[in-house]
Amino acid sequence: MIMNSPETNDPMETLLREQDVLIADNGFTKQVMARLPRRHHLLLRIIPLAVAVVGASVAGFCVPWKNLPPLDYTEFLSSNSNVLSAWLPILVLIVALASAATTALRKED
Amino acid sequence: MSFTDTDLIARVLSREDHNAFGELVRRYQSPVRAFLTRMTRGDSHLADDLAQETFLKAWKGLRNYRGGSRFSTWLFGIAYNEFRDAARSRKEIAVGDLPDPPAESQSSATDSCTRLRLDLTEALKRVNSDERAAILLCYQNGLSHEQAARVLNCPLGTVKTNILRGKEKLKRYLAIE
Repeated sequence: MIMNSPETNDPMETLLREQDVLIADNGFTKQVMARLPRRHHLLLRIIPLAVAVVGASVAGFCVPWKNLPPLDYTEFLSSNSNVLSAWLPILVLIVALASAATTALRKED
Repeated sequence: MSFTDTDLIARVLSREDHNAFGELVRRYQSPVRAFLTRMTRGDSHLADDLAQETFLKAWKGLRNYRGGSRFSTWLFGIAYNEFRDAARSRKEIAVGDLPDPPAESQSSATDSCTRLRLDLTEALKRVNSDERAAILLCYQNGLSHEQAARVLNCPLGTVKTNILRGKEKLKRYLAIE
């Protein structure tokens, strides 16, 4: 693999060039290949996002938006059953959708 | 049919071809491992760990390889950084460099007979890591001084100085006139 080996009379340089060693692979390449991160196919990344979007759309149709109680945080935090039962599934849905989008768009390590 | 490095890199980038990358690893595992083994003063286990990390980083960063230098030069750069990081975490650079050899003026005809003549492998362990890296890259891996400066991320003059100093030390260790 010598790229530039100008002729020289320096015995030290000659000695150094002669020290080139060849190391047998002995499974090294296999070990490296086993550690390579597997990149997910694009479809595998898009499917969770698509499922979440479809799920959110279906849920959006099913939610009785007009009958929802106003989102009063004090009521919500005090575990008022009417507000909580109406809004909690929607919040869970939003979190699930955000999580699916993050997973789909996450950069590979 | 043998593919060039450029062909293999193109296949890795376009198809994430593991086999093509495997061929690159097979081609360069020996010089990279030999370089790191000498840099770690013969610690082949540590050298192999660093070499594995080198190739993993090469896989992850292959898109950053611009092709301006040879693939091997780029790989040596990653390998050297891996060594530096490992040495820094082990504080080997600060405390691990062995003392300089005695000056030529101190050697005499009598002690040249009694002085242990270290072989080159042993002698290389005794020069400091910057000098060792410059010597290994230029003489054992055939890089030019300019390429070595890029790998070591230092000025060209520093590489030349390190080579000169390292060679002088080696000559003293090996008693080469």
